[in-house]
Amino acid sequence: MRPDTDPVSDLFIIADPELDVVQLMARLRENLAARGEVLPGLEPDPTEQRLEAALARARDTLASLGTLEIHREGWAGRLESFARRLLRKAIKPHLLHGAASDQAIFDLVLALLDRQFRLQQQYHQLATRMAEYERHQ
Amino acid sequence: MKLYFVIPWYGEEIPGGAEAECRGTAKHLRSRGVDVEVLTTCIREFQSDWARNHHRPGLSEVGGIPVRRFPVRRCNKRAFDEVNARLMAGLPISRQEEQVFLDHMVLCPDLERFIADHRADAYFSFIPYMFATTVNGAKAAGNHAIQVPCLHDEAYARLSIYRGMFRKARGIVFQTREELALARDLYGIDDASTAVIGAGIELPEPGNGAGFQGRHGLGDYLLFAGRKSTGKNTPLLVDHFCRYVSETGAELSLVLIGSGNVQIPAGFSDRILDLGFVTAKDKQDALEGAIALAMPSVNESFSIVLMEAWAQGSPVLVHGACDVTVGHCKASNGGLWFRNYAEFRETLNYLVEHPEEAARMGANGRRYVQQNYAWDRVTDRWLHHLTRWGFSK
Repeated sequence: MRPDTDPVSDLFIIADPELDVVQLMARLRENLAARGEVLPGLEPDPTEQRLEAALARARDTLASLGTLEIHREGWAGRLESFARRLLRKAIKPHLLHGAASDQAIFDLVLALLDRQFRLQQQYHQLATRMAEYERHQ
Repeated sequence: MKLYFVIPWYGEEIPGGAEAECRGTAKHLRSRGVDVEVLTTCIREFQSDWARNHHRPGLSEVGGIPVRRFPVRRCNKRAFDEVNARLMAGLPISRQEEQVFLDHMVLCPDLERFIADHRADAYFSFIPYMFATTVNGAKAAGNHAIQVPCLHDEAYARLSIYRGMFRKARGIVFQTREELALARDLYGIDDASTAVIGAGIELPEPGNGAGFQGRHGLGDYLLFAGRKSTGKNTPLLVDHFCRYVSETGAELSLVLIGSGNVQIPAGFSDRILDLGFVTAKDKQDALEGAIALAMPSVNESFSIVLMEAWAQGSPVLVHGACDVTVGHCKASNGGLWFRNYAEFRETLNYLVEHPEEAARMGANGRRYVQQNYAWDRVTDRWLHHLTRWGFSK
């Protein structure tokens, strides 16, 4: 097989008469559409990935909420732990306010997750109905 | 004529794609008879304080390349951080704030003076686009500035300070067609100044995938290689993989190699193997033995690891929202892509159930790498375009 050159650059592109990944992707997407898992002929929503990444970040942050890691061991670790406890006591009102804000963000994230799940359910129901409708045409 | 590479920090062990590209290109152009020197600051690396002089100023040699370092001066870090935080949050900034961003990033007036004093009989290749060493250095270099931007679609790229810089460049070297398309959209640059050259890779010895599987007690596996982080979309890959295994019951593992951490869901610790840092040989073995390399990141400017997987004859599975990696897959016929879980399952199923086609994709990928990104090919293209832009050895 002789490599072809890309018209935009002088890079080589690999043409394979027996395997074209663009056609293969189209076929795989048709399979998904036929099973009602994605809407036929419709590109997936590119914002879905951004939402998933943002939700993953929020989950990571909330998972470590209020975590105080002490890396030192022995007397230095005990001293650090004692100093931190004192500090936390002094700033407790601010911490409580912060915790209330964190809780609000947490609730918002959960609500968004729930909303996303419900939207996905509606999306799949719609896709299934469209596929059925097309089969009956 | 002399060719200077200008980069904010330089060293043999410094991580980063732009840094590696600078080292490799300087080395290979020098081996082809180009009089190459690196101009940089005394800053240690990206993660260091950008106002601290770690190295001594003056001329030294690093990996056989002459390196001339210039001291940085103190700047208003707080002012810079404030503007930078707005940019990172995606908030708009004014022209004045753009200037604050530039003036208080890396202050290195001696470097700019050196460039202005030597521009008559030299070309200056600036890498990457974002830093003050590039913007101010390019002004000092006049019409002998060549840009190697390593451009991403990010807030920084939209600042007006870069528009004029790219339009005035004698040449602009892009790593991919997609990076060139982005620069055309953003800056309206002239075709005569552009070239898609790509990044070079050292073609490795064939890996021993069976040996890797034996050492780690693995059967079939999907591989992720790189920094494990949200930015690289590793949690998404772990999530999709766990769903895939739960739904299909496939006897497949996910192997993760590289720095960083990712949370492995309960009940999947026997299916997901996080090896952390491995030797270069182990990495090549892991790439050779994988069903596919998974690269879920949506923000790649070139993706060396894709080339490394293809060099070992393995297919790749990339995220469909990344124009660069999808572009590589289409141009090489060497991999598939997914934009949601359903597509992930469908494409991974295909690779698992069609080993002959998967091997064919890997072989196509290997040819793509050999013909485009072996260092001799990349160096040929550099020499061709340098000559086109008026540089002579």
